[in-house]
Amino acid sequence: MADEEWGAQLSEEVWRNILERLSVAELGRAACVCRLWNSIASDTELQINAFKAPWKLKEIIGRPSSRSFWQVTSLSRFAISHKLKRSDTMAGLAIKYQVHVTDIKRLNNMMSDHGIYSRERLLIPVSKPDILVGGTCYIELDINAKREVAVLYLDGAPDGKPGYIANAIPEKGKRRLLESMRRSLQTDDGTAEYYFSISNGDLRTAFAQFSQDLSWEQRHVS
Amino acid sequence: MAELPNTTMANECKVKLKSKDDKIFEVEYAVAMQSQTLKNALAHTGCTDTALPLHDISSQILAKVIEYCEYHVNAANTISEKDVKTWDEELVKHMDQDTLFRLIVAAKYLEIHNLVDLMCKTIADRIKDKSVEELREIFHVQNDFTPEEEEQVRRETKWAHGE
Repeated sequence: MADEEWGAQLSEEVWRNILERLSVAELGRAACVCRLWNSIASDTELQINAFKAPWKLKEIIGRPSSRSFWQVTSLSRFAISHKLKRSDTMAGLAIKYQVHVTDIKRLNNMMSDHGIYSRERLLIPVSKPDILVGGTCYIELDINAKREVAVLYLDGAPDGKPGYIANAIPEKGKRRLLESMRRSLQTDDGTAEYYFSISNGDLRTAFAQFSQDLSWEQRHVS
Repeated sequence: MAELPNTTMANECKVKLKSKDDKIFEVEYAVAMQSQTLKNALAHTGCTDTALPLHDISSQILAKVIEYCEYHVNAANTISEKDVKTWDEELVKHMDQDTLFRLIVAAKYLEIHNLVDLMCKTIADRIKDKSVEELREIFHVQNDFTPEEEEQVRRETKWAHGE
């Protein structure tokens, strides 16, 4: 059989076995070779595995809004979620995570250092790839960073998951949560609805935001 | 039909394989068992003196397959994983594309999973650092995109080119 025909002899299954070993960039080139390679290289599962491979990530939870998210091999895709405490300072965080203050501010779109007091959490850029090994990341659209990021929670699973692209909370559960929130915040339905929506149903987050807003009001409204 | 040989018989059983070009190869039962296809065939026929015909595999390729299986049957318990890996790499190091393809087709037909994986890994390694045009040439792949499709795909994957 002529040389040229051997390539065609290989089944899609075999080509898949071959292409699934490629890196993200190699998959991009493979997608341009022919239709068969394109359909295999464009497969979402393949792309996700190629995305995870260089960082030796264990799992990625959640899905981005666009496939182009998977097509970048760079630490800029990742961030560590740091839950802010009263005692935190920008300088302290920079030292703790071994990054520059400017990088933290840039990632979170902070104009000044004071933004630290009005937020629940900050995203910290990842400087050392080792931290990702065996890790689980959550795809989130961060409100402050204004883009999708694969977030690493150093102390396990996220609580409340602010901004997490999750499945919609089922209606029955939602009503119960809303009721519970209304009672906790000691407020009316409308207000409870509002805090419910910005906290994605998490009571702790809603309460924190509510008390922050309340104290702001008390300071600024005569 | 004859029954599946028991263990003692299996140790003495020699399996005959006939290539496309009518060459007969004789292998140990344990070596033949590396192939799921042969395993299934022998479950039906038992140990037989009749050569199993492999219509699509040339003697050149069959020899290589047998070489692989013979090494791996012995390596199973006696040789370190690292040394096995080195041996595998040496086997494929200078293999031309045509042989690689023929070998992978044979390994797939015979269902020798380790060999299929080794072949796929080798081909994947050869894909690295190649441009789209080089890939088409090396793997004899036809560009079946329409000009519009090709332009779109190139645009979508712009980031992957010109590294």
